[in-house]
Parts: sequence; structure tokens; C-alpha cells
Amino acid sequence: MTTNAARPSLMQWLRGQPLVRGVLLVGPAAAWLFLFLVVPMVLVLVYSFWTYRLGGVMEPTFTLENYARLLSQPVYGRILWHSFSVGLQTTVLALLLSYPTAYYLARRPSGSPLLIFLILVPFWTSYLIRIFSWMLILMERGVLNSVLLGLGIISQPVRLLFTPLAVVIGMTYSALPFMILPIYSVIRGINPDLVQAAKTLGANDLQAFVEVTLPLSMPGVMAGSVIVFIQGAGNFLAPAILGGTGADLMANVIANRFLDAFNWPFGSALSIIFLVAMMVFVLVVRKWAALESIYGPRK
Amino acid sequence: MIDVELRSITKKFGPVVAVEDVSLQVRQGEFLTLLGPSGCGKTTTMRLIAGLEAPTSGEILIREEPVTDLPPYHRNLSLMFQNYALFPHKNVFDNIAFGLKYHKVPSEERKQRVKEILALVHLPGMESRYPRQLSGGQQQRIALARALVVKPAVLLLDEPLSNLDLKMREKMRVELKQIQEQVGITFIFVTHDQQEALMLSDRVAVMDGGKIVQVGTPREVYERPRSRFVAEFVGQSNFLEGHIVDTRSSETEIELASGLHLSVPAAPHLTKGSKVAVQVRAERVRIYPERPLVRGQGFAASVERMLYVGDTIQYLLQLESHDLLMATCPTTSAPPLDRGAAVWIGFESEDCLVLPGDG
Repeated sequence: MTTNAARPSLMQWLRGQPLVRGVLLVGPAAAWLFLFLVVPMVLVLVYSFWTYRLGGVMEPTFTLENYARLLSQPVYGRILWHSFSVGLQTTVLALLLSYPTAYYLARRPSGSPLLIFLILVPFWTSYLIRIFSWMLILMERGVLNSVLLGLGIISQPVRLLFTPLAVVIGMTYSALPFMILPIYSVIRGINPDLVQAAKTLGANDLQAFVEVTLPLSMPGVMAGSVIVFIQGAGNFLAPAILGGTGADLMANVIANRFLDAFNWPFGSALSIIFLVAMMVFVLVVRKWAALESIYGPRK
Repeated sequence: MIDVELRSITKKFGPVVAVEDVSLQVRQGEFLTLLGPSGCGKTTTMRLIAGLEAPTSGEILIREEPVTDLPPYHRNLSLMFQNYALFPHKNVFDNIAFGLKYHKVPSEERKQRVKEILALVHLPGMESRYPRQLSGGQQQRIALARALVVKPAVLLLDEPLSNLDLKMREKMRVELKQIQEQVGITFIFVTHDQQEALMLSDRVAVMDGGKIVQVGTPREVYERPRSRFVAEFVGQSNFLEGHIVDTRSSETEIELASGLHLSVPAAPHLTKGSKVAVQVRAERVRIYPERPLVRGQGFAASVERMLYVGDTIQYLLQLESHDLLMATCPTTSAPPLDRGAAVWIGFESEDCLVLPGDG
């Protein structure tokens, strides 16, 4: 009896304490993120201003040397540009492949739970294994070359593996679900009456798509593109496995500085510069796309 | 001139027949309402006219041109959707000018026509607003403006008033009718609201189970329903079931299941012994404190229940034969009758309509 009486009173008390409620609900996840994201990031920021001594020793002496070196050597600019370029190529390719699929799935009358499920099936296997299987497909005597040779489309095996193209192909493949799902859910949320209204007002199917569905699906396109771009530009495994030497992206260079050169301060500086560059790029694109204002100013 | 003609239109969705053998002619400038409960096929019929669905069989003509195989954008009609379907990412001007653009109206003329139509729907100067900045009633008028500005042969309206609150709905009904008279465009209006249908329409087509069961003026549909379905759907009625015991020349006598006898106007199409339902409108049943000296029927009754509506009072009355009758009386300065009050009720023979019984 006493517990029965106590429980509602605790809940009632909580109802009057929005702050306590907020802390209880958000606290655990926030603490997790703080410990394992914010703290490491702060450490990386701190290390980037420390001094490197030969032999992999770090000294807590403040220096701008790491950043100075980074900005003075054009190779890092090239790597940053290359990372962005591969990220953008992956995003554009994934978008071109995903949009029609997402559109088709979203416009099926009953939705497409089974097909959506199939899109997610690759996630049951580890990313590493999926990237390795692309090696089998792309290598010189791999599946793709064998098929093309067998069909007589090519006479010599084409070098695909260990090229930047292989990296883009592999990353595009793994990006598809991240692109399809947000676009699918946004298109699914577009009132079909809007398209029909456009058609009764004189627009044909293509014009109705361009005037209504396409602009209204942009939030989904944007969400998918940002995820895919970040994943692509910052990818480590695909360039490491499919790219071969010389196809390194920023993540590989950073890993190399930490793990092979044991130069933690310089690796940290690279990480910070890369993070800042990515944030600026994404924010600029979002600002430019101005998605918040497609429905006009708020009341 | 006939603006819209349906010739034996049938629409099946898989095994489900949504619209069955519907034929209808809508005259130019007419306000015609498709009235019926949800699932009766009225919205499908409208979508077939619009070209948003293709009929399984039958033919559709607009201004005497067959359009059955034409897409919506070649049918010279507009549609106003229940949820208005305003383009949320376009401002009022671009919403209204959308149709003009695809009807190849030059840019200068577009501005003029948008301005004129906004004045017509009493929202001048709203060109740069976005739909989400508008109230429900304003969105509704913009939707009407967008549909009208292309000067279609026919405007189809799919329950356009059902998302508005009561006061706004009453206001928009009047406005809609005025605008229709002003522009002279044929309106085909879909609704389940019988009051709306009666108030607005030149003619009402009542639908049930995918078929049109009666077409007529509001008065015809209300006062001379052809079937029990129509009688029940439109207005509030009593149905007294019984069979014909005598058919004299001027009046027919009916015995109800309870044993009560009613005299009703002659129903020449029905023979002695036929099962019938006698319809008496609730507002035609009168309540008297004493036995009335009127032509027609008078019965002793007691008040079972009283519903105070405001402008009217609804009584549920039990006759001595245990038949139950609804009566709607205008509110007067006299206090409403209490439950259990003994009264007399009466209605005239002319207020009884004999309909074929169910089985």
C-alpha cells in the first residue's frame, strides 16, 4: 500500500520539476557524449599545440609549429582537396543512384517496408568485409573484369583496384542506404494532392515533378548528402583497402601520423584543421541551400 | 449546353466496385453537388471527371468533347482539394499564377489576373505571403482563387469546407455561392454534409454504394426522396414500418407493426399487402397539449427524452402503441416539456411519404 501511494507522488513531484526531468532524460546520453566525444576532442585540440620531439615523444610545451608546418606544405592542402573531391564525387554518384530508387519506393501506394528492409540487409555484414568483397569484384582477375572480358566488351583487363575510382565506387555502394532513406521518408511525406493539383492546373508529369516534388524533397537530399559527404571525405577503410598507395584521404594521413610516425601533435593539428574545414564546408552549403526558408519566412 | 457528361461510368479497384454505371449531365453554370456518406463513390466520381483516375468503362465528356483518355492537364478543369493542396514552397502569387504559367498566359497579364482574382476572394495584396502564414479560411480562398484564375470550364470541389470551423464554414458557404454566381463557372461540389448540399446546390445527386440514387433540386430531394436511403440521409425523419391494408381512391391506409393505423396520400404504385415505410419529417410532427382538431393523425404520447438544441428542441415521444417518434419544435417562450409529460402529437396526411419497405 505504501509503495502504491509513494509512486504516484514521486511522478507528481517530477512533473513539477522540469529541470530534474530534463537531467534524468538527457543526462545519461549527454554524459556519454561528453566523456567519449567532447573530452577526446579537447585532448586532441590540446595535443595539437604541444611540441614533438624525435622518437615519438610529446612535450607539453605550447607551440604553433604543427600548424605552421601544416600550412607551409602544399601536400596537405592537396590531400584535403582530394578528400573533399572524393567525398563530393561519392555524394553526387550516390544521389544520382538513390533519388530514383527513393522516389519509386516512396510513391508505391503501400509504402515499401520489404524493399526498405532489403536496402538495410548489407548492414548485417561488417563494413570491413563489404569493402574487402569489392576487392574481389574490382581486382585484375576479379568478377567485373571477367564479365567484361567474357562479353567481349574489353580485350585487356582494366585496372580498377587501387585507383581513386575504386574508392569512389566502394564508398558510393555503402552510402546508398544513407542517401535513399532520408529522401524516401521526405518524399513519402509530400502530400500527393500537391502533385495532382499541379497536374489539374496544366503541368504535365515532368513539370509537376520539377515544380513540386523535387523542391519539396530537397531537405531529404540535403540530409542524405551531408551524411554521405562526411562519411566519404573522412573515410579511412575504403581508401586504405581499395585505394592502394597514393590514394590516401585525410583520415589515412592522420592515422599514419599517429600510428606510424608517432607524431601525435602533428596528427592532432591535422585532425583539427580537417574538422574545421568540414564544418565550414557543411555550414556554408547549408546556408547556401537555405532549406529553412523554402516555406517562406515564419509567421 | 452540357458542360460535363458521364455516360455509364464504372470504376473498379481490383474486385471493389467504387463507382457503378453512373450517368450524369451537368449544365453550364450549374452548381451540382455529389452528396453521400463516406465510401459512396462521390470522391472517386470527381477524380474520374478530373482525370486523376481512369474509368474501367464508360465515357466522360467535357463541353461535349470526349476526354476519357486525356490527362488532367488537357481537360479544361480545376480542382479544389479538401486540404487545399497549396504549394507550401511557393508564395500566394506563384501558387495562383501556377496555372496561368502552364496555360501560356504572358507574364504581364498574369500579374493582372492574380490581382483581380485576389480581389474576388477578398484577399487583395496577399501576393507575397506563404501558405503557412495564412489562416485556414485564407488558405481556402487562395485555393479557390488558384482554381478559378485559369477560367476552367468546370471547377471540382472536394469537401472544401470540411476543414473549417463551424462559423467560418457558414461564412464560406455564402461566399462560395456568391462567387460561383459571379463567375458563372460550373461547380461540381462533393460533400457528405446534406445541409451544405441543400443550401448551395442547383441540383443534388445523392450517391450510395457507387451509384447515383437520385438527382434533383434540393426541394425535390428533401421533399420527395425516392428511396429510404435518400430520405434517411437527408434531414431527420421518422420511419414507421407497416403494410398497406386499404387503397381507397384518395388515401391509402397503412397498418403499422404496432397495430396503429395511418392514413396517407394515395400511393398508386403500391398494392394492398405491400410492406412500406412511412416517412414523417421530425419538423412536421407537432405537439399539442390536448387532442388536436386537425386533419390527419392525432395520437396521445408521452415525452421520453428532450434535447435542447437552442433554436429548436428535439423530443423523443412514445405513442400508446409504443411506437417512437422524433419531433423537432422551434423554441418558444414556453418552457420545454419535461420527461414523462403527457401530450398529443399530430401530423398531416400530406406530411407522410410512403416508401417501399426494406424486404
